[in-house]
Amino acid sequence: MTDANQELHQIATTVFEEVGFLFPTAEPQPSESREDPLQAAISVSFSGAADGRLVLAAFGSLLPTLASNMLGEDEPPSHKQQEDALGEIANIICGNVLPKVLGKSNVFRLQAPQLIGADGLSARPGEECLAKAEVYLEEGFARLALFAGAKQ
Amino acid sequence: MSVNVLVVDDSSVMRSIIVKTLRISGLPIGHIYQASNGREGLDVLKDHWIDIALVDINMPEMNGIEMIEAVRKSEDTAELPILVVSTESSETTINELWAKGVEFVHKPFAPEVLREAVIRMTGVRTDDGCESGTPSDSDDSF
Repeated sequence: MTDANQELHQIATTVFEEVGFLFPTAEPQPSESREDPLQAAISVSFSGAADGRLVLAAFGSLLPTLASNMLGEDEPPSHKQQEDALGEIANIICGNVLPKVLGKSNVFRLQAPQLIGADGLSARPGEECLAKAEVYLEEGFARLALFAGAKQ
Repeated sequence: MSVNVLVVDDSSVMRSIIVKTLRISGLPIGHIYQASNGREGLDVLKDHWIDIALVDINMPEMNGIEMIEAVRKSEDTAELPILVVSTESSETTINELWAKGVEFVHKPFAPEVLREAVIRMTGVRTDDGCESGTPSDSDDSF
């Protein structure tokens, strides 16, 4: 694992733990197979010292538990709330990983998280993947990638 | 004494987390007003007495830095305690924020960190300190 991949993995794990109260599992469990369906994917675009985006995709059954934990609600959150919760997780991960990977004195402006489809998970023409990670959690897994290079 | 709080963040989920954190903090919290960007935050400040504002940085329409600058320019709000609650990690930006007389809590934050910052900035007493406080259960959403 490269340093950038390690930073992204570490930050994502910490954010899922501290904000989402979801804890990592060391190895994929049978229920966390990569065949699990994509639940939702979020992109957080940034500009400044570099332009790019962080992509976070949730697989398995992460979303309802994540949103319930973040909101502290007993009742199941709405689908919109679940997507908002994932968006906030992506936003926090992006804000924390950029200085680690691209320099702590650099200034970046983050855009609001956007829901994207499966076709947005891969690098676009002109984009470079700076870091990628998978975080396995009790309820599924998350796949992350940090892309830079293409104007948003 | 209870403190009125303004929470400015474009994420409704993060506003909910902050509001819940304040409500269970044991601090005597009065009304908690919410706004989804700096412009809405300034509108709340025009109409309500606020003891402390918790402000995100990256927001649409008017971001947190623009809001803070507007707050500091206004005679009515120039001295308002402002706690920036943000993912912002750039040393350059954080130093600029310090120069504007604000404090900073980094997301993700532990509830105790937010609580301690509010105590430090407002001087409010807590029920595990010297005086007791009863959190209000009313929220006023913008």
